[in-house]
Amino acid sequence: MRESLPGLLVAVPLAGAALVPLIGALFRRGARETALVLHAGVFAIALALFALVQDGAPIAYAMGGWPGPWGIELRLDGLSALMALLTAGMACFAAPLDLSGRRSGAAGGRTSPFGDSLLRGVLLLLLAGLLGIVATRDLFNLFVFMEISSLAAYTLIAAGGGKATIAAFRYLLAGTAAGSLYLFGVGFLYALTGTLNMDDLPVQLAAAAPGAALATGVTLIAIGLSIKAALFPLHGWLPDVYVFAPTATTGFIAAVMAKVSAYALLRLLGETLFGVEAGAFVLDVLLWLGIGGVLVGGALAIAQTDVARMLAWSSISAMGTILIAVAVGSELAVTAALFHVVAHALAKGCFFFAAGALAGGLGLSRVQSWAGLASRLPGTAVAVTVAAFSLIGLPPVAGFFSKYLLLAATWNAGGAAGAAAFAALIASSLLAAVYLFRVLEAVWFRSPAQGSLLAEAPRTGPERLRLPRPLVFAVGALAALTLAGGLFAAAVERRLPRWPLPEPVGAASDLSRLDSARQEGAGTPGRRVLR
Amino acid sequence: MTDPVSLRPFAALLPGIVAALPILLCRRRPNLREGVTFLAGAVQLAAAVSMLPATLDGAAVTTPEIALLPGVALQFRADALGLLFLILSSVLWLATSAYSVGYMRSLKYGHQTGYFAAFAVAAASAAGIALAANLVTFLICYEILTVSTWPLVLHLRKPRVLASGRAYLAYTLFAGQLLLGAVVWTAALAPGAGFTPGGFLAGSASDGALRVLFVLFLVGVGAKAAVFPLHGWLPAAMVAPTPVSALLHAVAVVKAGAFGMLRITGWVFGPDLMWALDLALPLALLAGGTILFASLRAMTEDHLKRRLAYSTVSQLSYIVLGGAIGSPLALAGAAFHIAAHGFLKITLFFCAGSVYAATGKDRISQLGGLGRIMPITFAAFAVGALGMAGFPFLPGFLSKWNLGLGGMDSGQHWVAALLATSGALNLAYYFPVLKTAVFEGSPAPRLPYGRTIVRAEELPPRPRLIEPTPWLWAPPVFAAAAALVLGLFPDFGPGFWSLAEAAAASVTDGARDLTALYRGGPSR
Amino acid sequence: MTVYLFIVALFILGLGGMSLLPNLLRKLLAMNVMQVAVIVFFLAAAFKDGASVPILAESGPEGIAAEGYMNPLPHTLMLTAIVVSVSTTGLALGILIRIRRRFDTLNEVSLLRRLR
Repeated sequence: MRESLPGLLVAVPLAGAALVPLIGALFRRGARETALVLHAGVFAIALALFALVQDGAPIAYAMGGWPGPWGIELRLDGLSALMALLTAGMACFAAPLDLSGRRSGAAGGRTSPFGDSLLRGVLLLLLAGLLGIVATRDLFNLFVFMEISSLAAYTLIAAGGGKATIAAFRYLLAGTAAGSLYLFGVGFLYALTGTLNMDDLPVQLAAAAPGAALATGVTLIAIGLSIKAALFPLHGWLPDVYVFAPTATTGFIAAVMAKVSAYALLRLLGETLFGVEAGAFVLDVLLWLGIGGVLVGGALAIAQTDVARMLAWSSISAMGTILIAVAVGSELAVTAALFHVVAHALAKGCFFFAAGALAGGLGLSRVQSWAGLASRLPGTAVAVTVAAFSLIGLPPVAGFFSKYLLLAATWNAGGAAGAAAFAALIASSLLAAVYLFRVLEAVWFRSPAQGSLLAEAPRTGPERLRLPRPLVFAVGALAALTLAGGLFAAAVERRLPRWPLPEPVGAASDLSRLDSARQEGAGTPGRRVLR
Repeated sequence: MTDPVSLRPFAALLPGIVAALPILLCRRRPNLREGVTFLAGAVQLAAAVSMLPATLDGAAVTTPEIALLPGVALQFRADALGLLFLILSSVLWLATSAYSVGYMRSLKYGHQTGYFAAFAVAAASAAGIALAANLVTFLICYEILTVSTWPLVLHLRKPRVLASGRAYLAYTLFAGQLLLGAVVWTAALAPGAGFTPGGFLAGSASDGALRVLFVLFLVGVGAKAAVFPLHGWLPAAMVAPTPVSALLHAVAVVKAGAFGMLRITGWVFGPDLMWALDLALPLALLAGGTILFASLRAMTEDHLKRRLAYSTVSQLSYIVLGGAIGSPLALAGAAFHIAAHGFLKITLFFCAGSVYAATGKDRISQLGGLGRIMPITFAAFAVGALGMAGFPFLPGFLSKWNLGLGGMDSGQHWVAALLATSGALNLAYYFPVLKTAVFEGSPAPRLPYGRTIVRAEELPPRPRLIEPTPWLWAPPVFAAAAALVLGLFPDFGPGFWSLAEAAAASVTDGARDLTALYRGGPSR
Repeated sequence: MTVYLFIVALFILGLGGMSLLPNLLRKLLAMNVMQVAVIVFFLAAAFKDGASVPILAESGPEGIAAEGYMNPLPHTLMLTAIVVSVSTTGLALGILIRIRRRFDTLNEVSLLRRLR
């Protein structure tokens, strides 16, 4: 049973993706319930895997009985189990929601014989793809799962209709370009080594001479994954997608999708290709791009008047933050990155669900239109406040502790890059404070404009404003988890996987040399910096 | 002496946080809601006083460490300085709560439930700052204080108020992030170190690095302490209701900043390191400059609360000055000034608020004759004003006297001259207030609270006393009386002077008897 | 070697077309060109001079002479890649039809103007 869990983790949602539309077409009902049960089941599998790998031993499943390096291996260690848990968990929040995302008034069109069961199946397909990326140890299989998840995501986004179709098509172009670049890069590595297995590859690479082909392959892979991770300056597809996609889709993909690509980046560059000189160089570049993304994303978020667009730019800033930590790559940095991944997924998911509910259901999409929200939807206002605190990094919520770890990790990395990253992280908090406190000010202290929806709605009684119950649940639960992640930060941190940093094989870059120097001089790492 | 480990400091921290929820739930029953506030304040005060004996014996009640992250722990410790601030803030929180009841109800302000809830959280975070045993704990409480006071500053929700609220956040959040950077840096230099009397950073990094670190701390904590040029938010924040201003100045925010400066100079860097790094004198000069600048600036303000705000900027720099000089007497004076300024300034704010609640007047030029019909209020105001100027038999005298002596001890003779000048300036900007109120103008007619338009039939036949409800005059009288007692018997009650003395002695070198220093020679 | 230059040219042509062409359908075609470049790259890398298709005639006691056969793996991988490419194209066409119905144009500039 234990060994087959990784297989089930991917197979259950994949089978569900076919099963749910079938049930929808045959019985006209029960599709939503089936999908919910399947999502809960996948979450339970992910939870079981997460609990099982806590002892440090990864769980592997050889597809078709072919062990690696010949066959495709699905393997969950602490890191991938955490990502799987996060992904499956966030999917549970999105699953009960209305996936068609028709904004009020825009409803209509032909009704398909499947009802909404098709989209529920596609959400399961998206989940299967993401979990596959997390679990697989095969470079080409990673590509396939990446394309599965991307295709599902394009479909879910385009289901929003209208402008969402344009955003979806542009995302499709960017995503396919990213996939092709990645595959091109994998081709170089395969031609050099004859293997696609992530464990076998470093062994074969150690024998191969470093050369232009290797560097090209690594760079192409990095560019491809960076597009998917929306890393600055390859983030162009992201804002429109997050703004126009249906609420449930935005909340889910904003919380996990780019992060899963960042995970793949960490796996490949930080682990499989760590010894490769070009890989270290790429990580160096990624660090500076991350710094750029943190600042540009934060600055452009300030310039937005639309809440969702502001949050989208904030996500670009957050991806920069995560990439910084991935690029620093020390044990502390990866712990910090994972803490930030979790904290940001919870808070951004909460914020996007709330923003989508208000924009989609009530037409409140601008920051100013949120004025007076606290008097009409106090629960939502509290949840949004908790999420905003976490995104800024204020105590006592989860974001503060991930910010603290990130600062400590970048400080310990030392050098110009470390210092710049440290300063950029502090600046990003300040930028986030500017754009998020603007929202909070409107929510709590401004009165709604005359004649606006919030001004007209009664405060009490059956006529008062209400959000759909699954959305209220998602927003409330995510806010509660954000708060709990802060109050029990020590417990969260203890359960984060420890990053197994392999010894550099070849010549390392400046950064990794500094990093190893840091490990030698543990205890007083800051000294070296300013002397 | 080993510190007793106990959970008792939490009893002083939790009442405010725990009370916030019932306060929010008692939305429809204001009397019960305010009862919860008073209960929480009383519990906090009782818990604080219960830790007094151990602290006066030289042992601080300490909580176990609560691990937050590896190497990062939450810990609270009731040492002399912390307990001094905690007892002060508990007492003044109770007084301010009583005053808030009178003020908010007389002026019929809305959103009172949120007001009292935010007030309780702010008081709890001030208690947390007082008892923080390490920098991370301090930082967490400091940030919670920022966000919990933000709604208080924005209470009136007018456009001008919103702009001031943004200024407040801009200064305090910016400072908070720099402080976060400094705390992370310090944690890298000295892993796991808590506040240590005399500092713990000596030798942990190069002089240049430590100087940069100090500047980060100075900006991070100094913005809340309103040290020039980071004082801009304080006068702007005067748009808040008067009890909030009282809270900002005497109980929580600015005082927490000044308290933080003492912690940084005395317990992180330590006086010896400060002098060795050539940081003490520049900081002292910066504080001295702030004292003079703010005193002069105060004179040009006609708005009474803004004048009081500049007075705070000036007075709190005494504390920074004492921390910078770092000699035993200067530190004791600075620590004592936390309490002295707390009682005096809250008296002045309460009086200003009473005048506004009773007559709707908030400018000094409008006060003509009010002193004759509000004698109780203006008598209390006079006590506060004289105390601020350092008049003997009032607590301000004791702190300034010791600051001056401490300056002399360290060879900084200019400190005494500065204190004399500043005292004169204090008189120069407080005296006109009293003069206008008592000797000028005709008394204003009695008006319903909060109204400023007078109808002919409302004009009284002759002036009579218009002291407002006891909720509005009793707190200032209490605060003024407390200030008088503190001035005459500095060790009365909780023993503020003993605590200040003990705090200073712990930083310098252990058991130096400060009273002997009055008689004996210089300490250095 | 020539074939690799051809592949790179094809890839860049596709990528450039995707970013520069104004019409969304043309972008889609360019995208297909780019995908084909990658597919050809894998097949070209698997090509060996003088080797035959990997269908084993017989295996002697000394084992299989691997140099006599081409590596079948890249070909199978590319079958999957082609499937992915076809699905992507199909989905893209579906989305394009919707865009055309709703906005009456496939010109990116005018569509982007509607998006803001």
